[in-house]
Amino acid sequence: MSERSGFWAELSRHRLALASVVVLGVLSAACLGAPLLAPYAFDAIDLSSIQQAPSEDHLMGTDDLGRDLFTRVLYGGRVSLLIGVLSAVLATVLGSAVGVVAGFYGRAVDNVLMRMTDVAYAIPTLPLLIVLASYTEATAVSMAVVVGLLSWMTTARVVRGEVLSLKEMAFVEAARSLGASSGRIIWRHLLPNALGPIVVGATLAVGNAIILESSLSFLGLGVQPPTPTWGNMLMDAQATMATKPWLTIFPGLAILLTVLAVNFIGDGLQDALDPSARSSR
Amino acid sequence: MSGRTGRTEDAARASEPEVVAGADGAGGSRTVEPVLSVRNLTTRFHTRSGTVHAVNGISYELRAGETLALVGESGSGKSVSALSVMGLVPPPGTIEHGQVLLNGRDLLQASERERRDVRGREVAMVFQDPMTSLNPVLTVGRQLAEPLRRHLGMGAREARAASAALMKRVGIPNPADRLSDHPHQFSGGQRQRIMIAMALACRPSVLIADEPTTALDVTIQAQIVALVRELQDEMGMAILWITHDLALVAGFADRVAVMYGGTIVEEAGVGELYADPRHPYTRGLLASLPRLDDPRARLTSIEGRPPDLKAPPTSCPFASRCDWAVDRCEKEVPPLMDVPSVSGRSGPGQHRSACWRWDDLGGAVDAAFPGRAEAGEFA
Repeated sequence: MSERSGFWAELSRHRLALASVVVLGVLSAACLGAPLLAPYAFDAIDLSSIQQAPSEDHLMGTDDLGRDLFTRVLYGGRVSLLIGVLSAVLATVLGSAVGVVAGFYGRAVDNVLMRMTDVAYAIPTLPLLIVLASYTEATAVSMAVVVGLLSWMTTARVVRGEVLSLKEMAFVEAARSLGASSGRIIWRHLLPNALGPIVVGATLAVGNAIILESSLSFLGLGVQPPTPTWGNMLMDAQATMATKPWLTIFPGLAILLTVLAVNFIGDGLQDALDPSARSSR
Repeated sequence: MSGRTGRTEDAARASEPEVVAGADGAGGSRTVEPVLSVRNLTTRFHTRSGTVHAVNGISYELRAGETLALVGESGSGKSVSALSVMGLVPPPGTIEHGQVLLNGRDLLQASERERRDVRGREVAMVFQDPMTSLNPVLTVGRQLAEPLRRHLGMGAREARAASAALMKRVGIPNPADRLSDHPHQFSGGQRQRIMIAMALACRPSVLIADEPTTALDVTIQAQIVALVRELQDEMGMAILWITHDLALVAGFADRVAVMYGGTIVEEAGVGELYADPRHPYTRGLLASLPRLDDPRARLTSIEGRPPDLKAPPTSCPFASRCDWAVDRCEKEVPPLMDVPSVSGRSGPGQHRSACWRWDDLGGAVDAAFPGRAEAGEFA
């Protein structure tokens, strides 16, 4: 019980992380609640009011088809956040599993898994996604899966390294001497100790995935219009960046806020998960 | 006196129960089955640069309530022999042969699952460094509860209450509150107390203590030793105490086995070992202890280096450093031979020495130890 409260106490001491939780929470809630909150339909074209600057009617202005930018940012966030979170979860679970097994069992198992990791590393993500996108229609979920399957390697390597050193620690031997099985040692003793780097990897993965989706959309290969994502909104705005800056600023700001918030949360989590870093203030 | 020929003892000793003198010494003798009987245990590490002969056929027995000190320098194989008993020799180490009979069952023949059930329940271990032996991210309450839940099938609440009782028993103040603290919130001595509580949670019949006081300062050492002895009186477990500190075990071990180069070179009752050491290495160790009665005395040391364990033993492992060595020592590995005991008893488990010239040695080493009165009596 108090273990949990110590964790929350530490996390709440981390002001940036706490602020980030609030920002990300509001952002996610707004995106999820887009159908209720959005003043317009995301694909409602209004040719009488194209490329308008932010105003009372259109909080963030309108794009070149007269669509309300605020509405599109909210709807775009649903796709971008889904891709970010889903692919990060996938990458983290897969990467941790590969890393912990490779590090713990060592020898042949380690060799096979790490060579697989090297191979996966060698696959160039962007070209592969471009090829995939040209054959199949990209949906948010399929993109999340593909991005997740292509970004577990860093986590795997970091976790493996962590486990390699952790498994030599005296407490692992002590746990064995008390009858713990390998599975129990992995689950109870190794993973909790490796949680810091795992969480950091996960937060980085969220940011990377959102940016990757943006890059693909920017190239016109992501989720297809009229479904908005933060990335394809940026792409649409590139021609008018200088003259109609709000078209760039708002989706860009959304990406920036999300990625920053996730990274700050990761930072805070890392401190909160390390009991000896918890101060006794 | 039995003369110069010691009865050579088979490394794998007879399995019949042995006769030990009753504690009071008056009522004759009683028969006690050993709880732990290690026979001809051989552990090797097959590394890329060759095979390391870490433990070369050691045998010893441990009875309930008894404390056997396994003394030796770094690399003498004492820790590896303990890990072999637990079945926890790290790769690339393998137990080549031998038997580890715990309450009559050979652990080396048991499956890994069976051995897991035995660890922590019938035999448990306390390690050298209490600072790293506890998992830093789990509360001590969860760690203490682990063996209780694993082996005794306790539920969370029951295990918590039992953990608090254990903490109290090993002398941690405010046990109920402190269960939710993490290891870094305890001192080194307290952490070692907690490790002892974890090891003894399921009341094992054998406790292996692998230099449990080495990392602690001297006053704490004494407290830990006292605690373990108290708990031994209470629970009656046998203790295998591994150490490099002959002076430390003098106070509380029943018997001492001295290890050198992966073999036991001498084993005797604790008083007898100090009063009448029959192996040159033991004598060297005793002579090298610092003297408190003569502050100007120089520290003595044993010349030379420990044997290279990569070569299989073909001579007495100590021969190259031994002032007493003769031709035979270079040609034949001396087995453990029975030595007539000071107490007049002989036979297995009394006094054994792996020196061809045990009969030429004898009497106390000039060291700051009691028992010099018997010096020369058997020389």
